[in-house]
Amino acid sequence: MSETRKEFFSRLAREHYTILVPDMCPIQFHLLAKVVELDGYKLKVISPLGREAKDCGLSFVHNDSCYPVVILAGTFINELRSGNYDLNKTAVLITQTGGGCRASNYLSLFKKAFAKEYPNVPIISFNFSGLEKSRSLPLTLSRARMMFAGLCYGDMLMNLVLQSEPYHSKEAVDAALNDCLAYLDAQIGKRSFLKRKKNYAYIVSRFKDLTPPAKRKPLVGIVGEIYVKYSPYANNHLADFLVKEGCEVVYPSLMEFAQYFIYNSLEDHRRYGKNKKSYLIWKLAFNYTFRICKEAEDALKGTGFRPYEDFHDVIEAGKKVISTGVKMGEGWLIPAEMVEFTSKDVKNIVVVQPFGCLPNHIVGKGMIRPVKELNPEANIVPIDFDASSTSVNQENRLKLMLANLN
Amino acid sequence: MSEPRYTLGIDLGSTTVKVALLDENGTLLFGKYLRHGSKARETLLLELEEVMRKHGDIEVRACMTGSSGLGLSKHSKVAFVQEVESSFAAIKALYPSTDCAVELGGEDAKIIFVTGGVEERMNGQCAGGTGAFIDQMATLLSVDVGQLSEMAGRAEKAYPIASRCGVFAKSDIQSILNQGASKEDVARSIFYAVADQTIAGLAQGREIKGNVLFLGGPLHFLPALRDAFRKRLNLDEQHAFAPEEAPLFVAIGASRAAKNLAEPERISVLAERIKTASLGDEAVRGAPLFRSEEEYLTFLAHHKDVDVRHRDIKTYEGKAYLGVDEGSTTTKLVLLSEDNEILFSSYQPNEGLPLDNLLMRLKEIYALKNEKCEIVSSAVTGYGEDLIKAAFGVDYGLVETLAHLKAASYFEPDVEFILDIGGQDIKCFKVRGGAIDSIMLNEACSSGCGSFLSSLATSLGYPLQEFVRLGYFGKAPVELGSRCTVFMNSSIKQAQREGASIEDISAGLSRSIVKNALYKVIRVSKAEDLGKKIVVQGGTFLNDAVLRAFEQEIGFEVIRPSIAGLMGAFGAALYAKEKGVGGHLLSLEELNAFTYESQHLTCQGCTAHCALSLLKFPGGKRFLSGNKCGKPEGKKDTSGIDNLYAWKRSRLSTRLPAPEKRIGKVGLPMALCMFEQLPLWETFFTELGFEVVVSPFSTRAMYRAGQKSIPSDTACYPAKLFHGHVDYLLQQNVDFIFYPSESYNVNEHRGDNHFHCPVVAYYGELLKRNDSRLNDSLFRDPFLLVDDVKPSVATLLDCLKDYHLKKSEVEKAFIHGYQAMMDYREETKKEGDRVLESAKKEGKRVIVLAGRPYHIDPEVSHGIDQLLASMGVAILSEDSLRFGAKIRPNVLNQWTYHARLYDAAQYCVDHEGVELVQLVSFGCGVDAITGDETRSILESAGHLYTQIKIDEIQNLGAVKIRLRSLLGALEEREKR
Repeated sequence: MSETRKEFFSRLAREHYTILVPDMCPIQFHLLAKVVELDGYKLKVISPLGREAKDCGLSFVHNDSCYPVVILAGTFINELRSGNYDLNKTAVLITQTGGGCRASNYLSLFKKAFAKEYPNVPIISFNFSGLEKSRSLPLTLSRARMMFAGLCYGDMLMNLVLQSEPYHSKEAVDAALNDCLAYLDAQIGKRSFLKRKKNYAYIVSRFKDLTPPAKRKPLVGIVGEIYVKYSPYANNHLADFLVKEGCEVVYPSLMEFAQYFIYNSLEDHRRYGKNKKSYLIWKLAFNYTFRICKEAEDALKGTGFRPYEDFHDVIEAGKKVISTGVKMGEGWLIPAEMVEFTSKDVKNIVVVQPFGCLPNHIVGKGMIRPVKELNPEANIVPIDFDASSTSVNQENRLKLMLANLN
Repeated sequence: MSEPRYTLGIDLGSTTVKVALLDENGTLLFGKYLRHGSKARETLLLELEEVMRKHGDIEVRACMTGSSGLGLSKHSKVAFVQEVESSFAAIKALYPSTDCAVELGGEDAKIIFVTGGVEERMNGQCAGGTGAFIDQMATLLSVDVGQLSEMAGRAEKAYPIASRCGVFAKSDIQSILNQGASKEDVARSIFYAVADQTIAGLAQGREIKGNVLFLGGPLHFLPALRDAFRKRLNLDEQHAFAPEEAPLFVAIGASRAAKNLAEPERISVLAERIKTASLGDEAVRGAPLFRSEEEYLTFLAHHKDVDVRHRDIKTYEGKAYLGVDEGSTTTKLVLLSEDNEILFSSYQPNEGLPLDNLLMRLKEIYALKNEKCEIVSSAVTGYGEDLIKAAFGVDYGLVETLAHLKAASYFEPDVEFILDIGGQDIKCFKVRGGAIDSIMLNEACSSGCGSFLSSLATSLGYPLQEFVRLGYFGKAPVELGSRCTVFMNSSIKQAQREGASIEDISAGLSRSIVKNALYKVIRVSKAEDLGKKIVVQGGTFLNDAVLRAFEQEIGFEVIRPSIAGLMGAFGAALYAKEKGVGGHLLSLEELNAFTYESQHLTCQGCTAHCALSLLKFPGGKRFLSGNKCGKPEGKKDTSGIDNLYAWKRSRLSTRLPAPEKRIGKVGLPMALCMFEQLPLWETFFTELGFEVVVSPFSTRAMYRAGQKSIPSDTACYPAKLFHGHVDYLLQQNVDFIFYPSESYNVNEHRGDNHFHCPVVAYYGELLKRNDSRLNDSLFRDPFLLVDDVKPSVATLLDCLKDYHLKKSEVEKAFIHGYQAMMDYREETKKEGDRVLESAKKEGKRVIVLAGRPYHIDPEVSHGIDQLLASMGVAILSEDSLRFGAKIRPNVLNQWTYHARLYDAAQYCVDHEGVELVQLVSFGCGVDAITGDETRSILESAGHLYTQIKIDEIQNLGAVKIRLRSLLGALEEREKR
């Protein structure tokens, strides 16, 4: 690549490239995309197109690869084929966490898939692991703060929507959500976007007529591999299904995943003496996340809405069953969330993973037994997702979990 | 109106419909059990009518259950209760003293623990197909399931069959059959496999004991299946039995549940709602195979049979050549004249009896042929090659690939690509310059796609031809996925529930088979990669629907010879003709006197104790199968010569002398990373004064011993074997078991990072929490960065703090241990040098059997290295090579073990005469990436790439063919 990273990105910004972003957490990604757009790119969050995307993905990616890779490759290629884009001014953005699982190869698999048909479409990586240095999205401190704020608002909105959905009309919930998004969108790029307390207060006030009743429906937590966990398309609309079955869905926040990631960098330092140079930055970032999460928690006090779990508690919960040295994929975070949920009032859990997910043999299915030993009331069902698996098969297993709701 | 007293339970399973009408006391007033043949709703309505005839249009509270009931209940607004819950309700009411219930259905397996903490478990989807699996196996043996059970009752022994998935089991069974095992023994093995799968996969360590109830159709109807479970669970008939009500059990449970779940209503009202409910249509549909009759005719015209001439065998005088293709499910035979005319041909299922079948055909030929026609030469190819050669005196044997190339070139001399879809295997060959350029054979998961078409047709009650023909004009073929036949089967069931027509299912299946071949086996993303001149063949392609689906998928027309199903035999006959006079084929007299006797033995030649079958033929000839080396045949055992795998095994079996002063006893499990790090940890602990117990290499028995604590059945086999090693070490009364958790392997500076895979890195954490005997002190798995002394020593000190060791001694022992590992690595490379040298001297072919260190475990690689060595090949391992300059593969090169694969591939590119065969463990997601990349490194330099996927499947039949194909292709290439 003759073009340097700086030149590359300034060209993308100057020429108003359309950057395609996969839709994982619709609310959070909407806000994050708006922040990235401040630099002059145009972002488009795209949703997968049903069966076509899977089939298309399968023809490019080995189906023993991670299911999310199959879906994403298919989604992007399908989108590019649609004829809606100037292929000389389109790029795709993918998020990478790095680490020792097969999914870290997303980018290389995409490159391979794209090389034949779309050599002019650059693939941009968004990561903090130093992968793909020349093509990873540059991030200044001020943008990072904006992104953190966007993430927090997104998480809070997801939380409130999940808690109001089972008890109120869809129209009312959607209206509140859209209103908050419009309110936040208008502030992106301005200093007021960082005024978190004020913005939290606005969001909470907008949802105050939508509070859940004191007597809740049965709570079902969804944990697992991050893409399959959040993306409604990848998990066959799991959350909607559970709500229809009379449950309230509880998701861990996306911030928690970021905290998990930062925590692992600190652990690498503590255990192996790695990250000597970046240690301080990680440490600062870690403390920063707690500060902003605390604000969110405070904003929800006395509102009748449940805040997210405190990450300190999650870490301690995890240590009861697994070493925090397990850091590939979602690693120790999955059992930690299971323990934390079941020791509070979320006794029912669906743990989701792509079929054949390597870390989840250990941290998902492998940890159900110890979690149940700790909390005998725990009602946990593991569900695999794959391009070839049938929804009846999954639903029937979910029904078994639902029959034993605690 | 008084409060209605009746409850109605409706159980809609994947194959049957059951209804149970109970009165207020729970007495069964009416019960009915019918197979629905994919017409669940219609069958149910018939049953409801019968209830009304007998009991009038009474008011009932009704509740549905079962996998098919899920959709119908939703759309017809009938209460639903999950089937395991239904069973549980019935158990509590009818058999309250039950401790545990095992329930097998058409597609699902369940276990309910009643006492000692209620727990309900269901199998994961990968293990799907229990009843359906038994059905398929029966079809394979051409019997019905009842007969299968009777046969099992007469069996003398059971073979080990990979039990974790139907497709795998089928592969094992196929080759056992081809080796002449009796159908009875195979039948028993099938039932044992089902029992093993259920117990291991579902009980997961919880013991099934006390009073055990067998539920579900298969366990009720098949005594042999119950026997298999009793045997495996060590229970007698008093404690483990199928209740009288077994077939209706779940329906009764649903009926009881209805009391609280449903409002009363008349049966007629209920029936009306069921009748008029619109079924959901969640299945995804594709384009039709043919839009019109016209399109079909055009298609036919294009494929007007590619010409082969036939000639009357009765009048032909002169030389004739016999070709036999003894495939997995079928026997194909062609007799050619001097002018390549077909005198006789046959294509027949061998029904598990290849010898009997071929004997009949040969007698038929002798009866038909003119006296002046002489069969001068004969050749055989396929799975049963060795057997047929030995039994009937066939002159030549040739590898399938070669046979197919010969045949395809006859029809299209410039053929670029051959795709053969047979019953069991999918084979693809790229041809360049008249020689085979690359070979792709399906791995276990894609097995049986072709024969699935016929077993599905049979189970739906259609002759194969008709079933396929129905698909031509299916308007919207159902998408069934392409992963494997177990998944396809489950998609079909779902489509049926949603009312998909047989036409659309048939067309969908033809398309799925093609997609499996294209995207799983060949791995194409663009049709152009295949070349323009394509010959398709194999029995499955005789179905026009499959051919059409293939052409639609790649977008242009291909050649399908009219003898598509006979190509192997045709090629073999051409080969026999080329080779000229042989004349060893048995004469008619000899055939008339032909008998054989089969005997089953266990080899005592070494600790592997292979299950052998010995066939004895007239004249004292014998044929032995099941062996992995020449030893039982009385040949000199060459399997350990110039074999790096064997060298490593023997090197790692040498123990250090025990320390004089003993401070403790540590167990080192011979699993995963220990295959490389044993020298490190053995030295480390011995120096510190520990007695070191190392578990032996794995065996099937060890696997069984540890199987019950495996929480995730889809993990790789090397990981699952680990459970058996823990079990072994616990019995040696060690103070603790040690297995380091290492996110990072040694940094060899060959890639972007140096991770271990998640399974190797963290499997210890899983073991500790899933084997109830273990705890933090008994199983120590400290997190180490093994190539960094300082943090490692600190962690180890902490890990061993109860032994009060000094930091200096731990550090010294660790440094010495690390050095021992490095010495071992260097010794491995030196042995590599020696093997290379020796191969050069003796003119041997060199193959790098590239996998991971733990692939040397004989239970992991099932003797593939010995097999290759017995074929006269020198074997290197990926870590015995002295790699050249650092390379940059096109993938993220971040695992140490896997980086060696790319380096090994590059080594083969750089060194003439060295080829690579990659060993891949089933379920290794990382190898989905390494496989493609290793292949592309090799192929870009014109090398052949061969991948062998290994798992629990023990049978080397398919592997043997693959390796012989490789060697055959290499020879062909060199000739040119």
